Amino acid sequence: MIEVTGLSKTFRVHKKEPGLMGSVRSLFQRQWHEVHALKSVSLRVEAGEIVGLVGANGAGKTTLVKCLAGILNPTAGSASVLGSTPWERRDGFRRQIALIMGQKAQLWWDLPAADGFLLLREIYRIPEAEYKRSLEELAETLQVGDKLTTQIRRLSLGERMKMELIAALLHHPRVVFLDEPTIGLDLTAQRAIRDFLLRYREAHQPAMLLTSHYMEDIERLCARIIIVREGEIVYDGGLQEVLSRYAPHKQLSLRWDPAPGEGIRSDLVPASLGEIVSAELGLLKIKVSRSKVAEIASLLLQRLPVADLNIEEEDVGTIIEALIRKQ
Amino acid sequence: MPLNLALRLFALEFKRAFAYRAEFWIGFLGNALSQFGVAYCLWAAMFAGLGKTILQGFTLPDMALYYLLIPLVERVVMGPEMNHISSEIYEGTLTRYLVYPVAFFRFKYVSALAQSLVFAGQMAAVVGVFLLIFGVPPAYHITGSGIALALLASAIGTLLYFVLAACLEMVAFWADNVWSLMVLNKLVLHFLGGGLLPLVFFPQAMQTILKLTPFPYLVSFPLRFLMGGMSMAEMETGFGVMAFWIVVLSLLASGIWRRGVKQYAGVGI
Amino acid sequence: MQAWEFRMRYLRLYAYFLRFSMSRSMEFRLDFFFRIIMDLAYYAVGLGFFHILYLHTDSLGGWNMHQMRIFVAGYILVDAVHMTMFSNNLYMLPRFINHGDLDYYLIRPVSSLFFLSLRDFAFNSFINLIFAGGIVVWAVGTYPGTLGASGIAVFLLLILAGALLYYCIHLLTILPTFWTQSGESLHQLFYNLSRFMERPDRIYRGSIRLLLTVALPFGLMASFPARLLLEPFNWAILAQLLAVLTGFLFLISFIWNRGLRAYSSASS
Repeated sequence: MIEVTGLSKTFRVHKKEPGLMGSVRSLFQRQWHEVHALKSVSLRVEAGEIVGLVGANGAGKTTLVKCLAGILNPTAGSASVLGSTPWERRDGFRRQIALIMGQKAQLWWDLPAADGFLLLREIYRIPEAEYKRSLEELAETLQVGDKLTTQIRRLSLGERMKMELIAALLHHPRVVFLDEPTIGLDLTAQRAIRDFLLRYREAHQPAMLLTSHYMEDIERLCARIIIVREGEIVYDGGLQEVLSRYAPHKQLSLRWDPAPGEGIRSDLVPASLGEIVSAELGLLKIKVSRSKVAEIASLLLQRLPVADLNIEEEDVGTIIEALIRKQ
Repeated sequence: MPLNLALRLFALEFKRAFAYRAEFWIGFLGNALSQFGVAYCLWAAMFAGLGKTILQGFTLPDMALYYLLIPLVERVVMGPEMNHISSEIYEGTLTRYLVYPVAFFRFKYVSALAQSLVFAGQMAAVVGVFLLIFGVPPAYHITGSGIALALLASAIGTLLYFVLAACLEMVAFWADNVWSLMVLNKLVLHFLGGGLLPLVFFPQAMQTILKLTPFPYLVSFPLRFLMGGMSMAEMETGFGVMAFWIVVLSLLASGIWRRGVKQYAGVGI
Repeated sequence: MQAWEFRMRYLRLYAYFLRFSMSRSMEFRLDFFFRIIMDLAYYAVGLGFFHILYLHTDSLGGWNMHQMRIFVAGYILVDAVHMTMFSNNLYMLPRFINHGDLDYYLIRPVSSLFFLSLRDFAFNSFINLIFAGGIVVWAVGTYPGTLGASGIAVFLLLILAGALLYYCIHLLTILPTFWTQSGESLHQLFYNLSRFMERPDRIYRGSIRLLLTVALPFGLMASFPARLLLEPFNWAILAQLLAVLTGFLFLISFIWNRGLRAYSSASS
C-alpha cells in the first residue's frame, strides 16, 4: 500500500540578518542554511496495518506524513502510495487517501458538520446510497448522530474531532494518515477515538499511519511502530519487540521478614544472577535477564523466606521516550 | 497628558513607521501616484477636448500639483491607521486603557498626530521633488505665511478627522465590524472634500452647502492657502466651521463613549 | 461527454458554496448592511463625479454624458461581480498560504484554485450586484439612441470577461505571497491601480495606454465592452480584450502551479 525508498527532504531556510543593513544585504546575498527533515527514509506499510510514527518535535514525522499525502515534495527518493507517486497529486490518488490533522480543522467552522459532509460527498463523488450507509455507520460508531446538524463551533473539542474523522473517512480511503488525532482531547474522548480507529480498521482494513505524542495512543493502536529521530528511522518493528531489544532485563523485587539479628546476606544472591539494584534488610531488587526470570525467581524463592515477589517490566512508553531522546 | 508620555508615544510611532519601510513607501507612492496619474490623464484629455488652457482658474500644471497635493494632505490628515479604536474594542484590550491613568482619547490622538507628522515629512519630500523638477505652477503663490497657515489648517484637520473617525469607530461597541464604515467615510470625504474634483467645479449651491460641512476642511482646504485668492473672510469662516464641528463631534464622541463603555463593561470582558 | 460531466460537477460544487455562504450570512450582522451602504456610496460617487464633470464639457473620451453613464454602469458591474464572487476569497488567500492552510485543499481531488477562489460567495455584495444591475437598466433606459438587445447581451458578457480579468490581476498581486510570505503592499497596490478602470480608456495615451490595455489592463475591463456597445463594431477591440483575458488566465494558472510547488517545497 505504502512503499517508501530513500526519501529525503531538505528545507532551505533563509537566515535573516537583523537590522536595515541586514535586510538590504539579504536582498543580494541570502544566507541559507539547510535543515534535513528526512534523511533517506525507507518503509513499507500494508493494508490493515496501523503503524505508529513516533519521534520528538521536529524529528520529521509530520514532514513524512505530508510527503506521503502529497502535500510536500521530497528532495530525493521515491514513494509509491496505492501505486502512484503522492506529490504528483493525481485525482485517482487523492480520491483514495485521507489526512486528518489534529491541529487543523477541515470542516467549515460556522456550519453544521452535515453540510460539510455533503460538500465532501460531491468532491469525492460518493454515490448517494454509499454515502448514506457510510455516514450512518461512522456517526453511530462515534456516537455523534444527534450532533450532525449543530454548528461545528458549538461542539466540544472531542465532538469536533469525531466530525473531522467522519469527514476524512466518508469516502472509504484505502490509506489514512493521522497526524496527532487526539491532541488536546480529554481522556474519555481520546479513548473513544482510539476504540473507533480499531473498529474502523477491523471493518475496512485500510493502511494507517499515525503520529501521536500520547504513548497511550501508540500502545493501544499500533502493533508496529517506527521511531524517527532527527530525520532518520532508528527503529521499525513490533511494539513489544522494543522491550526485548531495548529492555533485555526485568526487575525482581523480593520482600521477606528478616529474622531477628539477621544482617544483609549477599552470599545468598550471587552476582552472577543479575545486577543488584538495591539490597536492604528485607528487600531486594535485582535486574535479571528476560529469559531467565522464571528460573531465578524460583531459585530465590527457595533460598529466602519470601513474603512477596514482584516481577516488574520496564514500561514500553518509557523505553520509547528514551529512544526518542537518544539515550 | 505629561510631555514625557507624549514624546514616548511619538518615538513609538516613528519607530513603527520605519520598521515597515518598504510597505510604508509602496503604500504611499502607490496611492499618490495612481491618483495623480488617473487625474492627470483625465484633465489632459479635458483640456485638449475643450481646446482651452484654463478651466475654473486651473491650468493643466495647476491641476497636476493639485492632484499631487490632495493625496498628501489626505495622508497627513486622514492617514493615521484605521481601526485603531475599533480593534481595541473587539480584542478586549480596551480595558487596559480604562485602568491607565490617562484619558483614552488623548492617548489615541497623540499617537495619530505622531503618525501624521511622519506623513508630513514624506509629503515635504514629494512636493520638494515636484517643485524642483516642474517649478511652481501659475495658480500657486507659495509664501512662508501660506505654508504656515496650510500646516496649521492640516493640524486642526487631524483633530477634526480624529473626532469624526472616533465617532464611527465606536460603532464597534455595537457592531462586529466597522472597517466598511471607515472606507465609506473616506470615500465620501474624498469626493465631497474636493479630492476627485476641485470644489470650484461643483454647482454653486453645492459649494455653499459643502463649506458648512466638515468635508472640505479635511481634504482641499489646507491647499487653498498655497493657491491665490483666499479672502480673509473665507479664512475666518473656514477655521470657524472647523472649530464648530470639532466641538459638536467631540460632544457626540464623548456621549457615544459613555454609553459604549457602560455596555462594554456590562458584557464583562 | 466527459467535459460536460466535469462542468456539471463544478457547478454542483459551486451550488454548495452558495448554500454555505447563504446560511452563514443569515446570522444578523450590522456589518452586512454597512458593506452594502459602502458599495452604494462607491456607485454614487462614480456617477456623481461624471455628472459634475459633464457640467463643464459635452464630451470626454469620445463619449457624451449618456454614453458615459453606460460606461460607469459597466465598471460598477465589474466591481460588483468581483466583490460578490472573488474579493473575499482573495482577501483570505494570503492568510491561507502563510498559515499552511492549503494542506486540506491540496489533498482533495478538485482544483485547489477553483476551491480557494470561489468558496465564499458574498451575499451582501450580491445585493449590491442587484443594485448595479439596476444602474445598468437605468443607464440603458435613459439612453437617447437605440441599443439592440443582442448588443446589450454581448456587453454584459464582455463585462463578465472584464470582471474575470479584474480577478486575474487581483490574484496576481496576491500570488507573490507564496514566495515572499507578506504581500500586503502589493495587494494595496491593486486597489490603488483599480482606479484606472473607472475612467474611459481614450484618456490614456502613449506608453501609458499600452501599459493600461496590455500589461495592467485596467483600461479595457469596462471601457472596451462599452465601446463595443456604443460605437460601430470594432474587431480589434474585441480581439484585444479576449486575447488579454486568455493571456492572463494562462498566466495565473501557470503561476498558481509554480506557487503550489513552492508551497510544497517550503517549510513544514
